[in-house]
Amino acid sequence: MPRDLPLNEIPSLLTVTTPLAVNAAAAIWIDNILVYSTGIAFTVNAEFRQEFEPGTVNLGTYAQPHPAPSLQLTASYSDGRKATNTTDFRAEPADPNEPFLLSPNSTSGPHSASATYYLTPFPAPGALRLALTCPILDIDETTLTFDEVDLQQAHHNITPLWQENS
Amino acid sequence: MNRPGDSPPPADRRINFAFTRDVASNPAASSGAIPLPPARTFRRYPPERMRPGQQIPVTIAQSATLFAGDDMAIWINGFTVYDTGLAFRIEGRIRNSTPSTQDSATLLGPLNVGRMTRPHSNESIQLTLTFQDGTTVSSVGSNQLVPDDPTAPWLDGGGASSSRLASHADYFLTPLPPAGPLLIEIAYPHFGIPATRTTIDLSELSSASDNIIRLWHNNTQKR
Repeated sequence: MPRDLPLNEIPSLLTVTTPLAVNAAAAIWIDNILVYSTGIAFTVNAEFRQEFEPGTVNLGTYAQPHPAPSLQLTASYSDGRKATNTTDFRAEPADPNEPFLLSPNSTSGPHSASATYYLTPFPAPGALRLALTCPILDIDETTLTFDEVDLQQAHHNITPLWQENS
Repeated sequence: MNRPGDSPPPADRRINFAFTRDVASNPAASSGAIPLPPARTFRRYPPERMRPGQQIPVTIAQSATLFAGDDMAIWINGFTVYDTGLAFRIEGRIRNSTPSTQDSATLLGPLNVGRMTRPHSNESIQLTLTFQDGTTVSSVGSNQLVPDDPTAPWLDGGGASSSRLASHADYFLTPLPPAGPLLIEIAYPHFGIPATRTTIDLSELSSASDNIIRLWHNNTQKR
């Protein structure tokens, strides 16, 4: 699939030092941020108190047979283009320049949940903003901004492996 | 004289055999004579060896290309520090050779970068870590059992996944190793990968450990 992770390169790791949101009952953060030539993969993580019992927290985008997605995620490119995780799974835009957020995997437990995302294409020059809201965990919209310099440096550090034959 | 056909043939005589233990002279006692199997000594996976929950870990941005060849690559991208251990993911890729040549890695695949050798037929990667103090821990050999000593290093291979061209496996090393250089040695004879050593710098480990955000005091673990 043209929007899948490229398999012929070693991505570059980008780290952020602050959690996205922490309240009295829950916390959300993003890690495992991997920059590929064609986009950015990352993991959204949540922990919540045992007593909180919010029910199944679905941070991914699969709706069936899982409960409705609990997370609203919007990626905003510096040129105004946006992608959200509310697009139907695999409903890829025909235009390869139109941003798309794919969530390949998600897990959920009694006190934690996580989901991987892949945003394509690689952002235009400028900062990339990720806005996240998780009502089920009482987390209002919070934004993580990736600096252009960090993105470009990470993009520069990708290790190409080989040309794919197919 | 009975002639054949004058009377029905004698019924087939059946002898049923059963092998039993000696029946005790006291039938009451013998009713319970079948011994119970010896109690199996399952040991619950020790919680301290599992990735802890209720905390926000810290990522150390150290990456290591463990092997890179013409048609295979294996690497680690980042180390995640929890208060009880160090998590990392090994990634593996095989070049998509079309058509597959006799010696291409595609024919040997998929890569198994985890530690479970079944149901994989390709064995698994052999991973050995050596800490700054000389202590080693390995994914192979006699180290398959969780040690009784909670301070002894243990490398848990949790989730793993492999497809024809892409594989990954999540490891969790407990307890936290000492800060400093970490020597990573891999070998994978099935794929012709000899013992290959890579050293990464984990000098940030102490400060990373200090920066873990402990959320709530609950003993929850996840694998």
